[in-house]
Amino acid sequence: MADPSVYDADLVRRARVAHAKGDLRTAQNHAAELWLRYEKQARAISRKRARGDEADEVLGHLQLRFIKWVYFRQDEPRNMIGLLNQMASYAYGDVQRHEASQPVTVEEIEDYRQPHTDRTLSAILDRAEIDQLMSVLSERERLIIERELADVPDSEVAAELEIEPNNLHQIRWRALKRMREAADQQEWGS
Amino acid sequence: MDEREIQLGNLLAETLVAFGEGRSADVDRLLDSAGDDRLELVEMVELSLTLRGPASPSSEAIDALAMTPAFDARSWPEILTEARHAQGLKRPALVAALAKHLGIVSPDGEERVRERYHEIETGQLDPRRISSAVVDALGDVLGGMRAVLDATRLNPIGPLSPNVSFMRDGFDDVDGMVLMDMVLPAEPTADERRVDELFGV
Repeated sequence: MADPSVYDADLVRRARVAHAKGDLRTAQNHAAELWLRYEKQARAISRKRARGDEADEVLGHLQLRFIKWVYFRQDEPRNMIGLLNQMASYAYGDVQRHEASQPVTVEEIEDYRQPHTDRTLSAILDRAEIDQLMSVLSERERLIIERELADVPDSEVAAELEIEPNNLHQIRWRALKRMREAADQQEWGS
Repeated sequence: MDEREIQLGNLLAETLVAFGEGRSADVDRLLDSAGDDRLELVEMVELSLTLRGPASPSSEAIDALAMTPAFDARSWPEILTEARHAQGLKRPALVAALAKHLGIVSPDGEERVRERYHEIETGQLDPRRISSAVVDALGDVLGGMRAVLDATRLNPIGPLSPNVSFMRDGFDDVDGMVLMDMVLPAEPTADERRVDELFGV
C-alpha cells in the first residue's frame, strides 16, 4: 500500500504554490481535498475533546486551523493524524475562548510550537509502522482486521471463522487494544 | 467471555457504521452509551479509521467544499473591496450603515468608524483583533457576508493596499510635520473610544 503521507505532502505543497501565485481556486481545491481525506478522523478526534454540539464546535475550529495551516504555514506535513490531534487541543481552547466571548488572538492561532502530550497515536499513519503494529496480532486477529479494512461485512467474516458476530467484535476490540498498547510503547520508548 | 469487551466491541462496530454513514447524532449517542469507557471507545474508532487510511473524495465533493466560506483564501482587504463593489456601495454609504449597525450616532464616532474601516479595507488594521460585533455588522451591511468574514478573519492581510492614503514619497512640509508632531492629540471622545474598542485598537 502506498504511503499516503507522500500524496498529502504533495497536496499541501501544490496548495501553497497556488496560493502564493494568487490561484486561490486551485489552492482551495487542494485544501478541500486534503480535509476530505481526513474528515472522518477529524470528527473522531474532535470527539476525544468534547461531546455532542461542543464536539462539532471543536471540529469547526479544527477545520479552520487546518485550512490556515495549509495556506499560510511553511512546515511539511509528516503525519496528518498527529497534526489533527495537536490542532484539536488548540481548537478546544478556541471553543472555550469563544464561549467566554474572547476572540482568538493572532498569537494563539499561529502557535503550534508546543508539543502535544496526549496519549495519541501520532505516529501510526506511516504504513511501515502500521505493518509493524499488525505483527503483534495473532493470525486470527490479523485476518479480522484485514477483512475489516477490505470492507468485508462482519456477518461474512464471522461465518468464515465460524464464530458469533458478538465474538468477532470482542476479538476485534482486543486486537485494536493490543495494537494501541504496542503503539503507545513505541511512542514512549522512542 | 468478558461481557464488557463484547459490549464495547459491539459499540465499536455500530459506531463505525454510523461514522461511515455520516450519522453524527447516532455516533454521539453510541459513544455516550459507553459510559466511563467513552474515551477508550473514541480512541478505538480513531484507530480503526486511521488503519483504513485517508478517504478518496470525489471531485464533486472537493469542488463543493472548496467553495465554502471556510476555505476562502482571500484576505479581508480583498473580500471587503470586492463585496462593497458587488453591492454598489460607496465608502461613505457603507460607513454610515456600519455606524448605524454598531449604534454609533455622533459625528465624531462616525468619523472614527470611517477611519477604522478605511484602515481595514486598505490592510493597515489587522481584522484578527476586531470584535465579533463589527464582523456581524459588516457581514450584514455587505449582504449576508457574516460566514465569509468570520471564516477569513484570521487570514493574513498581505501587503498594504495601494489605496493607503498616506504620503509614500516623503514629506514636503517637514517643518509643518514636526510642528504637528508636537501637538498633543486630543483626548478621544466616548464614542471614539467605543469605536476603537470595537475595532480592537
